[in-house]
Amino acid sequence: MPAEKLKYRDFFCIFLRTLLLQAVWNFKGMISAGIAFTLVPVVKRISSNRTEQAGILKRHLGFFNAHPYFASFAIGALARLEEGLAINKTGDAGQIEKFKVALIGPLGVAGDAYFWAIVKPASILAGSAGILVFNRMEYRLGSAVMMLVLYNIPHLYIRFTGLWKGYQSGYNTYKLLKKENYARVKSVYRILGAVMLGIVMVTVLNKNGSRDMGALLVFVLAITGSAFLRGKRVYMQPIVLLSMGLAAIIGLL
Amino acid sequence: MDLFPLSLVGGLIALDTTAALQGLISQPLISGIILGWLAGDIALGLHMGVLMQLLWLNQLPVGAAKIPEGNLASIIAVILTARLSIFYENSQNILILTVVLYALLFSWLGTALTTSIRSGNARLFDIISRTLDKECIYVLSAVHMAALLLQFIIQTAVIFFAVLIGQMLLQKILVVVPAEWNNIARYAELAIIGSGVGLTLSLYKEKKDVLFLLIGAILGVLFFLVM
Repeated sequence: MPAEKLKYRDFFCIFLRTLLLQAVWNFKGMISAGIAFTLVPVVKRISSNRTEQAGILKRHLGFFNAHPYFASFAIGALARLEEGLAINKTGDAGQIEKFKVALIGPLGVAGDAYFWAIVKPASILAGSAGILVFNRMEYRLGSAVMMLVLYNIPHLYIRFTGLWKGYQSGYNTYKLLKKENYARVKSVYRILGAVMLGIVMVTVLNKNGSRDMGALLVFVLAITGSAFLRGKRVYMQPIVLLSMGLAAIIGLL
Repeated sequence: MDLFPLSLVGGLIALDTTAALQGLISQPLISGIILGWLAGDIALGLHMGVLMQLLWLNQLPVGAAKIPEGNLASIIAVILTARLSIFYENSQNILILTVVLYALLFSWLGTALTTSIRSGNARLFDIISRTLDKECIYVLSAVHMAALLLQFIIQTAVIFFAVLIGQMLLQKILVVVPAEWNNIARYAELAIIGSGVGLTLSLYKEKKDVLFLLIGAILGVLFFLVM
Protein backbone atom coordinates (compact mmCIF):
# COMPACT_ATOMS: atom_id res chain seq x y z
CA MET A 1 0.00 0.00 0.00
CA PRO A 2 1.50 3.38 -1.01
CA ALA A 3 2.05 6.17 1.54
CA GLU A 4 -1.08 8.30 1.96
CA LYS A 5 -1.79 11.73 3.39
CA LEU A 6 -3.45 11.88 6.79
CA LYS A 7 -7.25 11.82 6.81
CA TYR A 8 -9.59 13.72 9.16
CA ARG A 9 -10.33 10.61 11.15
CA ASP A 10 -6.60 10.21 11.80
CA PHE A 11 -6.59 13.62 13.48
CA PHE A 12 -9.47 12.55 15.69
CA CYS A 13 -7.56 9.39 16.67
CA ILE A 14 -4.43 11.42 17.40
CA PHE A 15 -6.50 13.90 19.43
CA LEU A 16 -7.93 11.09 21.58
CA ARG A 17 -4.44 9.70 22.08
CA THR A 18 -3.14 13.10 23.25
CA LEU A 19 -5.48 12.74 26.25
CA LEU A 20 -3.20 9.91 27.45
CA LEU A 21 0.03 11.70 26.58
CA GLN A 22 1.46 11.48 30.09
CA ALA A 23 0.34 7.96 31.01
CA VAL A 24 3.91 6.64 30.73
CA TRP A 25 5.65 9.84 31.95
CA ASN A 26 9.11 8.81 33.16
CA PHE A 27 12.48 10.32 34.01
CA LYS A 28 14.23 8.77 30.97
CA GLY A 29 12.23 10.07 28.06
CA MET A 30 9.64 12.21 29.95
CA ILE A 31 6.67 12.37 27.54
CA SER A 32 8.45 10.80 24.55
CA ALA A 33 6.58 7.49 24.92
CA GLY A 34 3.35 9.52 24.79
CA ILE A 35 4.54 11.33 21.65
CA ALA A 36 5.30 8.00 19.95
CA PHE A 37 1.90 6.68 21.10
CA THR A 38 0.07 9.64 19.51
CA LEU A 39 1.99 9.18 16.26
CA VAL A 40 0.84 5.57 15.74
CA PRO A 41 -2.09 6.61 13.45
CA VAL A 42 0.40 8.72 11.44
CA VAL A 43 2.87 5.91 10.81
CA LYS A 44 0.06 3.52 9.94
CA ARG A 45 -1.16 5.97 7.28
CA ILE A 46 2.21 6.88 5.77
CA SER A 47 3.73 3.40 5.70
CA SER A 48 2.59 -0.20 5.50
CA ASN A 49 6.05 -1.54 6.18
CA ARG A 50 6.42 -2.77 9.75
CA THR A 51 10.16 -2.05 9.86
CA GLU A 52 9.60 1.52 8.68
CA GLN A 53 6.72 2.08 11.10
CA ALA A 54 8.70 0.80 14.08
CA GLY A 55 11.75 2.81 12.95
CA ILE A 56 9.81 6.09 12.87
CA LEU A 57 8.25 5.48 16.28
CA LYS A 58 11.59 4.46 17.77
CA ARG A 59 13.10 7.75 16.60
CA HIS A 60 10.48 9.60 18.64
CA LEU A 61 11.40 7.79 21.86
CA GLY A 62 14.31 10.20 22.36
CA PHE A 63 14.00 12.62 25.28
CA PHE A 64 11.13 15.05 24.87
CA ASN A 65 9.20 17.17 27.30
CA ALA A 66 6.54 19.84 26.89
CA HIS A 67 3.39 21.10 28.52
CA PRO A 68 0.87 18.28 27.93
CA TYR A 69 -1.67 20.49 26.11
CA PHE A 70 0.82 22.53 24.10
CA ALA A 71 2.57 19.31 23.05
CA SER A 72 -0.26 19.03 20.49
CA PHE A 73 1.52 21.70 18.42
CA ALA A 74 4.60 19.47 18.27
CA ILE A 75 2.54 16.35 17.50
CA GLY A 76 0.75 18.13 14.64
CA ALA A 77 4.03 19.43 13.23
CA LEU A 78 5.71 16.02 13.54
CA ALA A 79 2.77 14.39 11.74
CA ARG A 80 3.25 16.85 8.88
CA LEU A 81 7.03 16.39 8.73
CA GLU A 82 6.87 12.59 8.86
CA GLU A 83 4.18 12.67 6.17
CA GLY A 84 6.37 14.93 4.02
CA LEU A 85 9.37 12.68 4.52
CA ALA A 86 7.42 9.53 3.58
CA ILE A 87 5.46 10.92 0.62
CA ASN A 88 7.53 13.73 -0.89
CA LYS A 89 10.92 12.75 0.59
CA THR A 90 11.28 16.32 1.90
CA GLY A 91 13.65 16.87 4.82
CA ASP A 92 15.36 14.10 6.74
CA ALA A 93 15.03 12.31 10.05
CA GLY A 94 17.91 14.23 11.65
CA GLN A 95 16.31 17.56 10.77
CA ILE A 96 12.99 16.46 12.27
CA GLU A 97 14.77 15.41 15.48
CA LYS A 98 16.56 18.76 15.75
CA PHE A 99 13.29 20.59 15.18
CA LYS A 100 11.59 18.54 17.89
CA VAL A 101 14.33 19.25 20.42
CA ALA A 102 14.18 22.97 19.57
CA LEU A 103 10.47 23.00 20.43
CA ILE A 104 10.95 21.70 24.00
CA GLY A 105 11.69 25.10 25.54
CA PRO A 106 9.00 27.21 23.80
CA LEU A 107 6.30 24.57 24.35
CA GLY A 108 7.11 24.23 28.04
CA VAL A 109 7.35 27.96 28.69
CA ALA A 110 4.17 28.83 26.77
CA GLY A 111 2.10 26.06 28.35
CA ASP A 112 3.29 26.40 31.93
CA ALA A 113 2.90 30.17 31.97
CA TYR A 114 -0.48 30.00 30.24
CA PHE A 115 -2.25 27.06 31.87
CA TRP A 116 -0.65 26.16 35.19
CA ALA A 117 0.00 29.72 36.33
CA ILE A 118 -3.06 31.53 34.94
CA VAL A 119 -5.97 29.56 33.45
CA LYS A 120 -6.06 26.83 36.11
CA PRO A 121 -5.95 29.10 39.19
CA ALA A 122 -8.47 31.52 37.66
CA SER A 123 -10.96 28.76 36.79
CA ILE A 124 -10.63 27.12 40.21
CA LEU A 125 -10.94 30.46 42.00
CA ALA A 126 -14.08 31.26 40.01
CA GLY A 127 -15.58 27.91 41.03
CA SER A 128 -14.52 28.35 44.65
CA ALA A 129 -15.92 31.88 44.79
CA GLY A 130 -19.29 30.70 43.46
CA ILE A 131 -19.43 27.82 45.94
CA LEU A 132 -18.57 30.11 48.84
CA VAL A 133 -20.89 32.95 47.84
CA PHE A 134 -24.04 30.95 47.15
CA ASN A 135 -26.01 28.99 49.73
CA ARG A 136 -28.36 27.13 47.39
CA MET A 137 -26.97 23.75 46.34
CA GLU A 138 -28.00 24.20 42.67
CA TYR A 139 -25.96 27.39 42.37
CA ARG A 140 -23.01 25.87 44.19
CA LEU A 141 -22.99 22.86 41.85
CA GLY A 142 -23.45 25.24 38.93
CA SER A 143 -20.29 27.06 40.05
CA ALA A 144 -18.35 23.79 39.96
CA VAL A 145 -19.63 23.11 36.44
CA MET A 146 -18.68 26.67 35.45
CA MET A 147 -15.17 26.00 36.73
CA LEU A 148 -14.87 22.94 34.49
CA VAL A 149 -16.21 24.87 31.49
CA LEU A 150 -13.90 27.86 32.10
CA TYR A 151 -10.90 25.57 32.18
CA ASN A 152 -11.73 22.97 29.59
CA ILE A 153 -12.72 25.33 26.76
CA PRO A 154 -9.16 26.68 26.42
CA HIS A 155 -7.74 23.28 27.37
CA LEU A 156 -9.50 21.32 24.62
CA TYR A 157 -9.18 24.23 22.20
CA ILE A 158 -5.38 24.21 22.57
CA ARG A 159 -5.22 20.42 22.31
CA PHE A 160 -7.25 20.34 19.11
CA THR A 161 -6.18 23.51 17.32
CA GLY A 162 -2.58 22.88 18.38
CA LEU A 163 -2.72 19.61 16.52
CA TRP A 164 -4.33 21.12 13.46
CA LYS A 165 -2.26 24.31 13.29
CA GLY A 166 0.93 22.39 14.03
CA TYR A 167 0.12 20.12 11.09
CA GLN A 168 -0.53 23.11 8.81
CA SER A 169 2.61 24.95 9.92
CA GLY A 170 5.23 22.19 9.99
CA TYR A 171 8.65 23.73 10.63
CA ASN A 172 7.00 27.13 11.22
CA THR A 173 5.14 25.89 14.30
CA TYR A 174 7.39 27.86 16.63
CA LYS A 175 5.75 31.06 15.28
CA LEU A 176 2.46 29.91 16.78
CA LEU A 177 3.99 29.85 20.24
CA LYS A 178 4.76 33.56 20.49
CA LYS A 179 3.65 35.11 23.78
CA GLU A 180 1.58 37.73 21.97
CA ASN A 181 -0.71 35.05 20.52
CA TYR A 182 -2.07 34.29 23.98
CA ALA A 183 -1.73 37.67 25.65
CA ARG A 184 -5.42 38.60 25.52
CA VAL A 185 -6.75 35.34 26.98
CA LYS A 186 -4.01 35.34 29.60
CA SER A 187 -4.86 38.87 30.60
CA VAL A 188 -8.60 38.07 30.89
CA TYR A 189 -7.96 34.97 33.02
CA ARG A 190 -5.44 36.78 35.21
CA ILE A 191 -7.94 39.53 35.94
CA LEU A 192 -10.65 36.93 36.54
CA GLY A 193 -8.41 35.06 39.01
CA ALA A 194 -7.48 38.19 40.98
CA VAL A 195 -11.10 39.40 41.14
CA MET A 196 -12.30 35.96 42.25
CA LEU A 197 -9.63 35.75 44.94
CA GLY A 198 -10.85 39.13 46.24
CA ILE A 199 -14.42 37.79 46.30
CA VAL A 200 -13.28 34.63 48.14
CA MET A 201 -11.57 36.70 50.86
CA VAL A 202 -14.56 38.98 51.43
CA THR A 203 -17.03 36.07 51.38
CA VAL A 204 -15.13 34.04 53.97
CA LEU A 205 -14.76 37.13 56.16
CA ASN A 206 -18.42 38.04 55.78
CA LYS A 207 -19.65 34.56 56.63
CA ASN A 208 -17.27 33.88 59.53
CA GLY A 209 -15.36 36.86 60.73
CA SER A 210 -17.76 39.79 60.63
CA ARG A 211 -19.08 39.28 64.17
CA ASP A 212 -16.17 37.45 65.80
CA MET A 213 -12.84 39.16 66.48
CA GLY A 214 -11.08 35.80 66.98
CA ALA A 215 -12.20 34.56 63.57
CA LEU A 216 -11.16 37.81 61.94
CA LEU A 217 -7.74 37.60 63.60
CA VAL A 218 -7.20 33.95 62.56
CA PHE A 219 -8.21 34.64 58.98
CA VAL A 220 -6.09 37.75 58.55
CA LEU A 221 -3.05 36.20 60.26
CA ALA A 222 -3.39 32.98 58.25
CA ILE A 223 -3.50 34.93 54.97
CA THR A 224 -0.65 37.30 55.72
CA GLY A 225 1.52 34.67 57.45
CA SER A 226 1.04 32.12 54.66
CA ALA A 227 1.72 34.67 51.93
CA PHE A 228 4.85 35.84 53.75
CA LEU A 229 6.21 32.34 54.39
CA ARG A 230 5.43 31.23 50.84
CA GLY A 231 7.42 34.24 49.65
CA LYS A 232 10.32 32.86 51.72
CA ARG A 233 9.92 29.54 49.84
CA VAL A 234 8.72 27.59 52.88
CA TYR A 235 6.90 24.33 51.96
CA MET A 236 3.11 24.46 52.10
CA GLN A 237 2.65 21.72 54.73
CA PRO A 238 4.48 23.56 57.58
CA ILE A 239 2.66 26.76 56.61
CA VAL A 240 -0.75 25.11 56.99
CA LEU A 241 0.34 23.44 60.24
CA LEU A 242 1.42 26.81 61.62
CA SER A 243 -1.91 28.37 60.67
CA MET A 244 -3.83 25.58 62.36
CA GLY A 245 -1.64 25.90 65.46
CA LEU A 246 -2.34 29.62 65.52
CA ALA A 247 -6.06 28.96 65.19
CA ALA A 248 -5.91 26.57 68.15
CA ILE A 249 -4.07 29.13 70.28
CA ILE A 250 -6.57 31.89 69.46
CA GLY A 251 -9.40 29.38 70.02
CA LEU A 252 -7.94 28.62 73.45
CA LEU A 253 -7.76 32.30 74.34
CA MET B 1 -21.43 3.42 49.30
CA ASP B 2 -18.80 1.18 50.89
CA LEU B 3 -15.13 2.01 51.17
CA PHE B 4 -13.97 -0.28 48.36
CA PRO B 5 -16.22 1.10 45.58
CA LEU B 6 -15.49 4.62 46.83
CA SER B 7 -11.76 3.86 46.59
CA LEU B 8 -12.28 2.54 43.04
CA VAL B 9 -13.98 5.78 42.02
CA GLY B 10 -11.27 7.74 43.84
CA GLY B 11 -8.57 5.78 41.97
CA LEU B 12 -10.31 6.51 38.68
CA ILE B 13 -10.63 10.22 39.47
CA ALA B 14 -6.97 10.39 40.54
CA LEU B 15 -5.90 9.30 37.02
CA ASP B 16 -7.01 12.74 35.82
CA THR B 17 -4.17 14.37 37.77
CA THR B 18 -1.47 13.42 35.25
CA ALA B 19 -2.07 10.16 33.42
CA ALA B 20 -5.31 10.83 31.55
CA LEU B 21 -7.29 13.87 30.35
CA GLN B 22 -6.10 16.41 32.97
CA GLY B 23 -9.39 18.27 32.85
CA LEU B 24 -9.59 19.33 36.55
CA ILE B 25 -11.87 16.42 37.50
CA SER B 26 -9.33 15.33 40.11
CA GLN B 27 -9.24 18.76 41.75
CA PRO B 28 -10.60 18.69 45.33
CA LEU B 29 -13.70 20.72 44.41
CA ILE B 30 -14.88 18.26 41.78
CA SER B 31 -13.65 15.04 43.41
CA GLY B 32 -15.25 16.26 46.65
CA ILE B 33 -18.62 16.66 44.95
CA ILE B 34 -18.45 13.27 43.20
CA LEU B 35 -17.24 11.32 46.24
CA GLY B 36 -19.50 13.22 48.63
CA TRP B 37 -22.48 12.38 46.44
CA LEU B 38 -21.50 8.71 46.25
CA ALA B 39 -20.88 8.60 50.01
CA GLY B 40 -24.36 10.01 50.57
CA ASP B 41 -23.48 13.55 51.66
CA ILE B 42 -22.85 15.86 48.73
CA ALA B 43 -22.83 18.97 50.97
CA LEU B 44 -20.03 17.52 53.08
CA GLY B 45 -18.04 16.58 49.95
CA LEU B 46 -18.45 20.11 48.63
CA HIS B 47 -17.47 21.59 51.99
CA MET B 48 -14.30 19.48 52.23
CA GLY B 49 -13.51 20.15 48.57
CA VAL B 50 -13.62 23.91 48.91
CA LEU B 51 -11.68 23.71 52.18
CA MET B 52 -8.82 21.76 50.63
CA GLN B 53 -8.85 23.28 47.15
CA LEU B 54 -6.91 26.48 47.68
CA LEU B 55 -4.14 24.78 49.68
CA TRP B 56 -2.58 23.21 46.59
CA LEU B 57 -3.45 25.83 44.01
CA ASN B 58 -0.08 27.59 44.00
CA GLN B 59 1.82 24.34 43.42
CA LEU B 60 2.68 24.40 39.72
CA PRO B 61 3.45 21.01 38.10
CA VAL B 62 6.16 22.47 35.90
CA GLY B 63 8.38 19.92 34.13
CA ALA B 64 9.61 17.24 36.53
CA ALA B 65 8.87 19.34 39.66
CA LYS B 66 7.95 17.32 42.74
CA ILE B 67 4.90 18.93 44.28
CA PRO B 68 2.55 17.80 47.07
CA GLU B 69 -0.08 15.32 45.85
CA GLY B 70 -3.01 17.48 46.88
CA ASN B 71 -5.58 15.73 44.71
CA LEU B 72 -4.96 12.27 46.16
CA ALA B 73 -4.80 13.72 49.69
CA SER B 74 -8.14 15.47 49.17
CA ILE B 75 -9.78 12.29 47.88
CA ILE B 76 -8.64 10.50 51.05
CA ALA B 77 -9.82 13.41 53.21
CA VAL B 78 -13.30 13.51 51.65
CA ILE B 79 -13.90 9.75 51.99
CA LEU B 80 -12.52 9.74 55.53
CA THR B 81 -14.69 12.66 56.64
CA ALA B 82 -17.78 11.19 54.99
CA ARG B 83 -17.24 7.91 56.86
CA LEU B 84 -16.52 9.50 60.24
CA SER B 85 -18.74 12.58 60.36
CA ILE B 86 -21.92 10.74 61.39
CA PHE B 87 -20.17 9.41 64.52
CA TYR B 88 -18.72 12.75 65.55
CA GLU B 89 -21.48 15.27 64.93
CA ASN B 90 -20.51 17.16 68.09
CA SER B 91 -16.79 17.16 67.30
CA GLN B 92 -16.88 18.36 63.69
CA ASN B 93 -14.15 20.97 64.19
CA ILE B 94 -11.73 18.46 65.71
CA LEU B 95 -12.66 15.92 63.03
CA ILE B 96 -11.91 18.34 60.19
CA LEU B 97 -8.68 19.47 61.85
CA THR B 98 -7.39 15.90 62.25
CA VAL B 99 -8.53 14.84 58.78
CA VAL B 100 -6.73 17.79 57.18
CA LEU B 101 -3.57 16.99 59.18
CA TYR B 102 -3.80 13.41 57.96
CA ALA B 103 -4.35 14.62 54.38
CA LEU B 104 -1.28 16.87 54.65
CA LEU B 105 0.77 13.81 55.56
CA PHE B 106 -0.59 11.99 52.51
CA SER B 107 0.08 14.95 50.25
CA TRP B 108 3.73 14.52 51.22
CA LEU B 109 3.69 10.72 50.89
CA GLY B 110 1.85 11.14 47.59
CA THR B 111 4.87 12.97 46.16
CA ALA B 112 6.99 9.88 46.87
CA LEU B 113 4.26 7.72 45.30
CA THR B 114 4.30 9.84 42.13
CA THR B 115 8.09 9.52 41.96
CA SER B 116 7.81 5.73 42.34
CA ILE B 117 5.17 5.52 39.61
CA ARG B 118 7.39 7.57 37.31
CA SER B 119 10.36 5.31 38.07
CA GLY B 120 8.16 2.28 37.33
CA ASN B 121 7.15 3.93 34.07
CA ALA B 122 10.85 4.00 33.11
CA ARG B 123 10.71 0.19 33.03
CA LEU B 124 7.64 0.33 30.81
CA PHE B 125 9.54 2.76 28.62
CA ASP B 126 12.36 0.21 28.26
CA ILE B 127 9.80 -2.43 27.29
CA ILE B 128 8.47 -0.13 24.56
CA SER B 129 11.99 0.52 23.30
CA ARG B 130 12.93 -3.18 23.22
CA THR B 131 9.67 -4.27 21.59
CA LEU B 132 9.88 -1.60 18.89
CA ASP B 133 13.24 -3.12 17.99
CA LYS B 134 11.28 -6.29 17.21
CA GLU B 135 9.03 -4.18 14.92
CA CYS B 136 5.89 -4.55 17.01
CA ILE B 137 4.21 -1.12 17.11
CA TYR B 138 1.18 -2.33 19.08
CA VAL B 139 3.34 -2.34 22.19
CA LEU B 140 2.77 1.43 22.51
CA SER B 141 -0.99 1.08 22.97
CA ALA B 142 -0.62 -2.01 25.17
CA VAL B 143 1.92 -0.37 27.47
CA HIS B 144 -0.14 2.82 27.75
CA MET B 145 -3.20 0.82 28.79
CA ALA B 146 -1.07 -1.23 31.21
CA ALA B 147 0.38 1.95 32.73
CA LEU B 148 -3.10 3.38 33.23
CA LEU B 149 -4.33 0.15 34.80
CA LEU B 150 -1.30 -0.05 37.07
CA GLN B 151 -1.70 3.53 38.26
CA PHE B 152 -5.40 2.97 38.82
CA ILE B 153 -4.71 -0.11 40.95
CA ILE B 154 -1.94 1.59 42.96
CA GLN B 155 -3.98 4.73 43.60
CA THR B 156 -7.09 2.73 44.52
CA ALA B 157 -5.04 0.65 46.97
CA VAL B 158 -3.43 3.75 48.49
CA ILE B 159 -6.83 5.42 48.94
CA PHE B 160 -8.40 2.25 50.40
CA PHE B 161 -5.65 1.60 52.95
CA ALA B 162 -5.11 5.27 53.77
CA VAL B 163 -8.80 5.65 54.63
CA LEU B 164 -8.84 2.36 56.53
CA ILE B 165 -5.77 3.25 58.62
CA GLY B 166 -6.96 6.84 59.03
CA GLN B 167 -10.33 5.66 60.24
CA MET B 168 -8.77 3.45 62.92
CA LEU B 169 -6.24 6.08 63.94
CA LEU B 170 -8.66 9.00 64.07
CA GLN B 171 -11.28 7.02 65.96
CA LYS B 172 -8.70 6.26 68.64
CA ILE B 173 -7.65 9.91 68.79
CA LEU B 174 -11.16 11.36 68.75
CA VAL B 175 -12.27 9.13 71.63
CA VAL B 176 -9.64 10.54 73.97
CA VAL B 177 -9.92 14.17 72.87
CA PRO B 178 -11.98 16.13 75.44
CA ALA B 179 -15.27 17.56 74.11
CA GLU B 180 -14.25 21.14 74.92
CA TRP B 181 -11.40 20.88 72.41
CA ASN B 182 -14.01 21.10 69.70
CA ASN B 183 -14.57 24.68 70.77
CA ILE B 184 -10.84 25.37 70.77
CA ALA B 185 -10.64 24.06 67.21
CA ARG B 186 -13.55 26.25 66.02
CA TYR B 187 -11.21 28.44 63.94
CA ALA B 188 -9.46 25.51 62.21
CA GLU B 189 -11.47 25.83 58.99
CA LEU B 190 -10.79 29.56 58.81
CA ALA B 191 -7.08 28.90 59.26
CA ILE B 192 -7.13 26.34 56.44
CA ILE B 193 -8.99 28.63 54.02
CA GLY B 194 -6.86 31.59 55.15
CA SER B 195 -3.71 29.59 54.46
CA GLY B 196 -5.09 28.61 51.06
CA VAL B 197 -5.82 32.24 50.20
CA GLY B 198 -2.38 33.34 51.47
CA LEU B 199 -0.61 30.66 49.45
CA THR B 200 -2.66 31.50 46.34
CA LEU B 201 -1.74 35.18 46.69
CA SER B 202 1.77 34.22 45.58
CA LEU B 203 0.31 33.77 42.09
CA TYR B 204 -1.04 37.33 42.09
CA LYS B 205 1.84 39.50 43.23
CA GLU B 206 2.08 41.92 40.32
CA LYS B 207 1.07 45.53 40.99
CA LYS B 208 -1.96 45.42 38.70
CA ASP B 209 -3.22 42.28 40.47
CA VAL B 210 -3.71 44.29 43.66
CA LEU B 211 -6.18 46.55 41.85
CA PHE B 212 -8.22 43.57 40.64
CA LEU B 213 -8.08 41.92 44.07
CA LEU B 214 -9.58 45.13 45.46
CA ILE B 215 -12.23 45.20 42.73
CA GLY B 216 -13.10 41.61 43.65
CA ALA B 217 -13.33 42.53 47.31
CA ILE B 218 -15.60 45.49 46.51
CA LEU B 219 -17.79 43.30 44.28
CA GLY B 220 -18.02 40.77 47.13
CA VAL B 221 -19.08 43.47 49.59
CA LEU B 222 -21.64 44.86 47.12
CA PHE B 223 -23.05 41.38 46.55
CA PHE B 224 -23.64 40.85 50.25
CA LEU B 225 -25.11 44.34 50.69
CA VAL B 226 -27.56 43.79 47.82
CA MET B 227 -28.45 40.21 48.70
